[in-house]
Amino acid sequence: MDNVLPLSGPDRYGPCMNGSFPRAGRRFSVGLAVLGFLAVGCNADGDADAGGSDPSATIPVAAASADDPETEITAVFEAYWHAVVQAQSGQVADAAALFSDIAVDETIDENVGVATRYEQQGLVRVGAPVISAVKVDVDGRSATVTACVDESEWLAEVGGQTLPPRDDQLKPYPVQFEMIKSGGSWLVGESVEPGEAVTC
Amino acid sequence: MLRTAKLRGASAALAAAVIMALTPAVVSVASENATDAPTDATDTPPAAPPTKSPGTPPDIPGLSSAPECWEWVEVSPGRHEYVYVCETPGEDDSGEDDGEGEWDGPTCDLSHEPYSEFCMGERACWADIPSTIPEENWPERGRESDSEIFTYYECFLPPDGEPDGRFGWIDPYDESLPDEGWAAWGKLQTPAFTLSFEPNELTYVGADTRFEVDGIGDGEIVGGQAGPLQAFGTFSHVEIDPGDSSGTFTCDNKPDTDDCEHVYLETSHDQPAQDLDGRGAYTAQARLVYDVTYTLRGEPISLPGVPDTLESPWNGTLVPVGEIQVLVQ
Repeated sequence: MDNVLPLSGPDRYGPCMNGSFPRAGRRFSVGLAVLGFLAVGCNADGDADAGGSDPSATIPVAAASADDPETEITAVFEAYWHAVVQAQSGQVADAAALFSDIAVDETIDENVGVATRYEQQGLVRVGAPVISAVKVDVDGRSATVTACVDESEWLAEVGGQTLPPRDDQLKPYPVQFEMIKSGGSWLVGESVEPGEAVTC
Repeated sequence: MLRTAKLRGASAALAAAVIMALTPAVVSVASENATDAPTDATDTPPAAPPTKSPGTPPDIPGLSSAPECWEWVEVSPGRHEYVYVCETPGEDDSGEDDGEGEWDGPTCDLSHEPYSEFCMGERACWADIPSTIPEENWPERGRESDSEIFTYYECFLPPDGEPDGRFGWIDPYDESLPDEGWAAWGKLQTPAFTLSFEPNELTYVGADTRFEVDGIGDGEIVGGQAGPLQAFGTFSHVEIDPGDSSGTFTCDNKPDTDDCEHVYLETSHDQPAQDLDGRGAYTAQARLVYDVTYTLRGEPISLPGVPDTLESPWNGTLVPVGEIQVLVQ
């Protein structure tokens, strides 16, 4: 798997503390790394890559097992972030399609809204966030996912100029998403306040 | 697929095409346990959505790329978005008529739901009012008046314009909840109070001078009704300026704490103010600070952008500060 670099968040930022969860359920911890490469950056082999390859050519998704909700949820969460990166890259015409079977309608609307606004404003995101310290908490047909998101290498460009990241953008921050079981599959629900107990 | 009214028609706006020279973003999952192998990411790639056609220039409506025009805002829990905070070229956000004549009605057609709340020039709009974004997450720049709120709003030009939604600063229209909130806040009245100090009548350099405020009562104040809103104040603390240029400090005005005490380092004999005995005195002042909350028809409501504190006027007293002479024989 040439393009996958299993970079763990704690390697870069130290372990994320995980606070109490609203539900008592099984927990499953994974490290999730989302890596994107600028054209002037490196490909997975470390070579300079100036090509404008199609961002939708590969969207690797982990195999899901119906018997293992944590694995399935993690795969959906992984696919979700990949879709977010693609939607904001300025290269995809139908942002909603990216999130099909991944997120609930409200979450799709939010992401399509962001992509639309960025397009109207001439802003594109380059690079990708680093997602680490992913923890899944399953309780029957509901679940939550907490993670740390580092956007310091997921920059914005307007009119060909890169906006310098703001100070608070250089630090990873916690996120928490509701996961919804729908028709036998897990979908990413709305983001919720992770609470002060979850730090990155 | 259901779509909320907020983003209705938004996908249709994806007309411009831009091709960026990016290599694919790659996602991988690995267990925190080093013995677990990374998940094979090539098993089930989902169907690829259509990409944009090359050669079409991006639709950049003259927005500045100056970094100070863009803020990275947490618009909902854990979700950040770049927001343009400079004035958009050619955008008329006044929502007011030209001032000629007596007509003071809407400047746009508000008959197209949900764009029926207010006008921005000829555009009809709705907005998240009150804002769903906590005030502490609002951008530092771009606010032109205290009454403006940072929120999501969406407008369109009747009858068949393309909806345009964004986060930005807007001045809530008359009789909106923030507007009524300001009115409710304005109806709160702080109680009359007096400021005293001990040792009474005369204190000394180096001594602990204790200030005390009388008149706070039970610490609760209730404002009048403003539309469906009502404001309530709960005493928070006292701010005290001892008058010797040492600066203001806060205290809780409780008898069992010493945070209302101050030590004067110089006498007040050369101060221009004089007490009833003709002694030079520092002009000490205090004001009460209240935390303010709001209710909508009796139920608590958050109104970002509307003041959540209230300060009373300053009220003072003269504090003569003497010096204790010690005779050594």
